[in-house]
Amino acid sequence: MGDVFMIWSLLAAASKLIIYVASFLAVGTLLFRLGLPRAGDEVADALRPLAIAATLIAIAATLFRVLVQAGRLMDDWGGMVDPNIVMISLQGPLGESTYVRLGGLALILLAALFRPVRAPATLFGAIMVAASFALTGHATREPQWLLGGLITFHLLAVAYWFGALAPLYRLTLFDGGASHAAEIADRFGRQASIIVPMLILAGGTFAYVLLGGIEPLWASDYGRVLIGKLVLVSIVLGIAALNKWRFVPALAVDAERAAPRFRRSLRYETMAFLLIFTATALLTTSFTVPVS
Amino acid sequence: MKKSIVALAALLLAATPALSHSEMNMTEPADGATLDAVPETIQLKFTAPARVMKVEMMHTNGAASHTRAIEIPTFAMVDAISLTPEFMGAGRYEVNWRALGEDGHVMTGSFSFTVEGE
Repeated sequence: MGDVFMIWSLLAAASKLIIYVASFLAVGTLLFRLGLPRAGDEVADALRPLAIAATLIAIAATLFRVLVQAGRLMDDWGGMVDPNIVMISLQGPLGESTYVRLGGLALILLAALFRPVRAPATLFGAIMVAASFALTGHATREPQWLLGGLITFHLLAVAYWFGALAPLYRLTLFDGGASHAAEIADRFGRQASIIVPMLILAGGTFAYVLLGGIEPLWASDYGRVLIGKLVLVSIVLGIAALNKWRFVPALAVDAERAAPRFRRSLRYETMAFLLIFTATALLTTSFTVPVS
Repeated sequence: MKKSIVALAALLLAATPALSHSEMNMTEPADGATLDAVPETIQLKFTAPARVMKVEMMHTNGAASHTRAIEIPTFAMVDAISLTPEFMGAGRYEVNWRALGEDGHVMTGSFSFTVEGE
């Protein structure tokens, strides 16, 4: 049973990881367009195929996650295609979360495809996608209104941050785009200086309320993985600080090799984000929150 | 930088074997119990409502070992469930169960007991 259990846990975590990456990429790319319209239509149009592909992948991964849950419930591949078990998997929190996320992703797809509805569809879609993660798992514990609200805000901010990396990267690739990229990156940096502390505060409060204190951080498997995640978050913060105070100013004065250095930094930031999402996917699918 | 990120990733993945979402607070027979005779039923009691989906019982007596699926009377959310498996006489019984928690997480667990008499 143990080996199969490992396979189901890893499949659940892998599908959750794909959901995180694809959802946040799709939502974030469109939110960036709304939050920083001065970035221009050119970069938005260039990234539209990425947003559409990410949305479709997020939809597929959300559906696959339900099948994995059915298989995991029965510890049997047959469970994935057993209609009764799939229906049981959809009853309760996972079903609610799935329906809300699919609704949100449908709005995001509309936003990517049809310009006239872009703003309202992006806003409502983003909120629905972020809120869908609060409808299942650890965020459903009491006080649910607080934990759910914190995680929804936290994920909206994460999506905005993560979704900005691709447009910022792309902006530096346009001919003579260094100064424009620097201007947008500077504006994003100023937004981030407000959003990121709130993001960290929301995440920290969520963890504190969930764990019921500090001690479970080192006294439980959940807490130890959470510490690993916090280390990764501190790496992302360090890279973001380097961008803000070193690479973006160099880009603004069109210093030699400033654009490639900024792009390399964005690639590292993306890698660190992927590891944070991996840690979160493991935490939310496979680890028990210690009883306080 | 790359090395430290890879090391952290390895650390996270190395933690994976500790996976479990068990919220069982009591079983009958109790885990590790030794009985004079086979019990009439097996009971699982949860700290929060759960939907029991699969229970298997492995019986070991000497070199012989058999595993049987136990019929689940209901897939409804329950605080406790009573099961009536077909026991196989004296020996060691290990019960593995899977359930869906009210927060949507899959819970798993196991317990064992020994029957010394017939």
